[in-house]
Amino acid sequence: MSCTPTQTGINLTRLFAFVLWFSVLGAIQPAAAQSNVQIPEQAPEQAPAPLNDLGSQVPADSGAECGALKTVTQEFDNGARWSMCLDSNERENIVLSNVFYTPPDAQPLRVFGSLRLSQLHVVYDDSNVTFHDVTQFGLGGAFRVTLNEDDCPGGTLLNLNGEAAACTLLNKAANTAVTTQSAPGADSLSLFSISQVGSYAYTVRWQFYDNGALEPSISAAGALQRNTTDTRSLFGRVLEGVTDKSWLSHTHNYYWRLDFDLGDSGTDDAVYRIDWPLQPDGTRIKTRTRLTTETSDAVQPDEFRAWDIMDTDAPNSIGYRIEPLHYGHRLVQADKAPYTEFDFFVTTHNDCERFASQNTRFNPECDDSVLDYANGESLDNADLVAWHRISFHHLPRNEDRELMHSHHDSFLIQPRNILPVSGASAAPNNLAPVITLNHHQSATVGTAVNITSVAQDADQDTLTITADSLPDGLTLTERGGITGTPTGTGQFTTVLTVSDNFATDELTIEWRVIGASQSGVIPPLTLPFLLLMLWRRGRLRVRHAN
Amino acid sequence: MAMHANVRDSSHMTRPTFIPWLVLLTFVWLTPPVGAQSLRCDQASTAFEIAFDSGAGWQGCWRVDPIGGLTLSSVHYQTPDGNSRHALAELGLGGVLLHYDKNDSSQELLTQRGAMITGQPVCAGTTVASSDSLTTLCRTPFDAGHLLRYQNRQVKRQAGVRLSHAAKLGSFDWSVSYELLEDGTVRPGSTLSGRLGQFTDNPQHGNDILGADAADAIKPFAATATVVTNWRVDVSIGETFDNDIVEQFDFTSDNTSFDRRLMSQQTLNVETLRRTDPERFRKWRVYDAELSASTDGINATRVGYLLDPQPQSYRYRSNTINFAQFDLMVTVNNACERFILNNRSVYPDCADALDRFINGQLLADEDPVLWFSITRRIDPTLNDWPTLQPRKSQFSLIPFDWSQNSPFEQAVLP
Repeated sequence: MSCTPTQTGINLTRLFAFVLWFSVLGAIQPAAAQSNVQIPEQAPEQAPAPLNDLGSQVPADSGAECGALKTVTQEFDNGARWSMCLDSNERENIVLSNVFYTPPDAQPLRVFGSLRLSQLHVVYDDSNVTFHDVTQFGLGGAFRVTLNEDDCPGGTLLNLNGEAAACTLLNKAANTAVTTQSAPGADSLSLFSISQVGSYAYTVRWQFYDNGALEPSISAAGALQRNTTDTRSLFGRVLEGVTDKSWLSHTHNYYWRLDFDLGDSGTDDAVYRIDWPLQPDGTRIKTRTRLTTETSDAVQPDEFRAWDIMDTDAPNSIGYRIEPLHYGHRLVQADKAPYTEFDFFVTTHNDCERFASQNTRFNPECDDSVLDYANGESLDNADLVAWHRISFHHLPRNEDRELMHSHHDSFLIQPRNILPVSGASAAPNNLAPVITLNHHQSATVGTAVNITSVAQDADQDTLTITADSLPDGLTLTERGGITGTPTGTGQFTTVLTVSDNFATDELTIEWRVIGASQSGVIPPLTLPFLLLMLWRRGRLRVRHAN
Repeated sequence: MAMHANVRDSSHMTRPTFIPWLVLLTFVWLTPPVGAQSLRCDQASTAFEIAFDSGAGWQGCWRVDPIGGLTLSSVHYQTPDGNSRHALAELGLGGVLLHYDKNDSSQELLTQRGAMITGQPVCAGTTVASSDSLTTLCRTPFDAGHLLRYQNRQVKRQAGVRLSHAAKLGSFDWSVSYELLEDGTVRPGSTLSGRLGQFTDNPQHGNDILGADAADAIKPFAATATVVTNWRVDVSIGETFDNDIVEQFDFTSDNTSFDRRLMSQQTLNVETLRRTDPERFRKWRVYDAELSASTDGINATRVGYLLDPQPQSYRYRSNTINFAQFDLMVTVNNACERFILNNRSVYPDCADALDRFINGQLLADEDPVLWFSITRRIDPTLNDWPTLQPRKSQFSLIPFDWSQNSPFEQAVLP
């Protein structure tokens, strides 16, 4: 989509309409809902300078080149590295650009042209007030919090515009217990800033993992913003100790703007919708649909929908996947905010398409919301931008008074095929299974056989086991054993085959199954008779105690 | 407690003298030390205690069930002011369903394979507690980030302790963890890694990720799959378990131009199966009737725990498992109803599957148990061979009206 600027400066008509709308809204409420904090309104600023479009920039061998911007680089123990440029502005606050990931023993890979939170849309259940925090107030400037060491324990405070505006923190691997065979949890770099908007303290965080994954997140702390004196309100709760107010439930909608620029060129990326519809026979088949035009898309929980952004020019189909893993809450306001009907958008890159909503406050020559941006333009050979949103609905509880316990929301952008294949290591990727059973086996008719395991695999792979011609009465178990009770005597030959998909072991087992009378074991029914005979013949005496 | 008694020859003790001593000694032995929480774990379990600098803390018991894996019981949470209260009677896995896309049905891994321990578990944390030589519990403290942060006030960060255990489920490495946070939040979670378990020769059901190893493979594509982790959650508030009540919250649009959200509360009176409803922000709460305010309605304080299904996203559906289309189930607590499938293989005298546990029993005056499922996908990439990158799923049990207000406010005075 192209936008031709037709005017610059403050749009007074729109400002007047905005103020008028708020006045009308305030006048028609039966029980006035109150904010407990006065939020200073900021006048819309001048249209910002164009975003840094990387276009066809070729990265240096060290990754991001940031010029006047601050550079953030983190090397991990596994040899991987993330590097990026950091900037802050009054609207979105933190903007990351020229984001590179360097896999272990590999060349830097540009992943993102830019990353930012593009809107923080808060809707109250009484619907009397809706906030668009990024555009109405901003997360930067006066709303950005000066961080201290308690905000950034063990990390590094980053100075922007003369104050500690952001923190970088190295997180060691999530320390769940793992066995020696499993992949360790990933170390990560956490980069965040905090904004105080009204009563809310938002921590906007970007977490970069050593395996190439990225986790954008937001934590919301501070204090509850709005209440009503109508204590019978169905839109909130009266909390213990404050009997004259009902604190209003509300939903936070977070929108992230993700300008993917995979590899050397930012115009050869492709977006795919991935679904796994359930088939009538109970199986699932992957459907992978390339999105060829700007698209607004919704989650499909029953089909496990996800989205891939791939570099079409790279070998091994490298790219990233966005999986909507936190979708237990989903705000939809089809009439008031139609963009809320969708959860994922892909558009062509456009400097003036900056905010997910209220975009015209700062870009009056462009459309107003991300839904408008996605108007069907071709994505072929275009620089793509992905937009993703998460909702969180907050029902106030006693613990939220006076200060609210932080709640946290995030999603994961996972690499696909980016790490080097592990086969590069000296160790083999697969160790063959080994049959542990002796090739001579004996059994007795009527006596149970219980062999718990016939093979071992040093990799603990799932084994496929077949046994040709087991003696009658014996079967393979699901756990790879042999059980049963033989029913016939004789000699049997079983061919046992064990496979882990890559290697096979085979053994021919010779069975000798004998009858009970041959076994030398006294059959149970004959034992009492035998004892009786011995006793009668005086061969068996029972000693009595005196 | 060591007891010393000068026991005289009983023939020299007269009855009136002996009995008071016996009574006194018994009383001393049974009375817990002043200020200490009395916690007794059964023979199969080991006690744990967590104390935070704020005065908040946790007490409970843990065991590694040979089928179900790491399980917590008798879990108490203590607020910073020292008020300790029973929170969870038991928390553990109800089942793990693994459904390969190439198959028409799933397998339940716990009852088929058990959460067995093999290899030498390695704790990346700091403290390892063992109940015996076969089980290792990892106990790892961590910083859980900001708890309270407001304008220029002091920052209050929150600490947590992760209790975790490693096991094998088939070819997978399987880790179960319980994060116990300073503010009373409990986060059960599981992590799946290890080796890919299945391969296929149908590219519609798997991915070409084996690289050079594909030449040796019988089936060259790594099979894709769905993993459903079901948690059995016995929230039991206070000392009486059969007075807990389960509620469902919905926030329904009034479909006017204002698009208001009307909150409704529904007490669940009978064993039931429920779905999440993201557009109604559906949530569930278990609260203690005795500890709660006598008033009814939305504003009544209800001491309990909130199960927020925010981390639920994908919905597993199966042509063969009826209850799989639901996300939360509520049953009356029955000690032999423990596993969502093949339960009878472990408890022969009980019903076999979760939907059979639900048989119309009333929940009133009973101890309710929640069963909550989270679904994740395995869609392998090059990065998953030969070792599967960890897949984690987790949810939160959040204390709700546990305190009159935030018990940590004193830490952030202006």
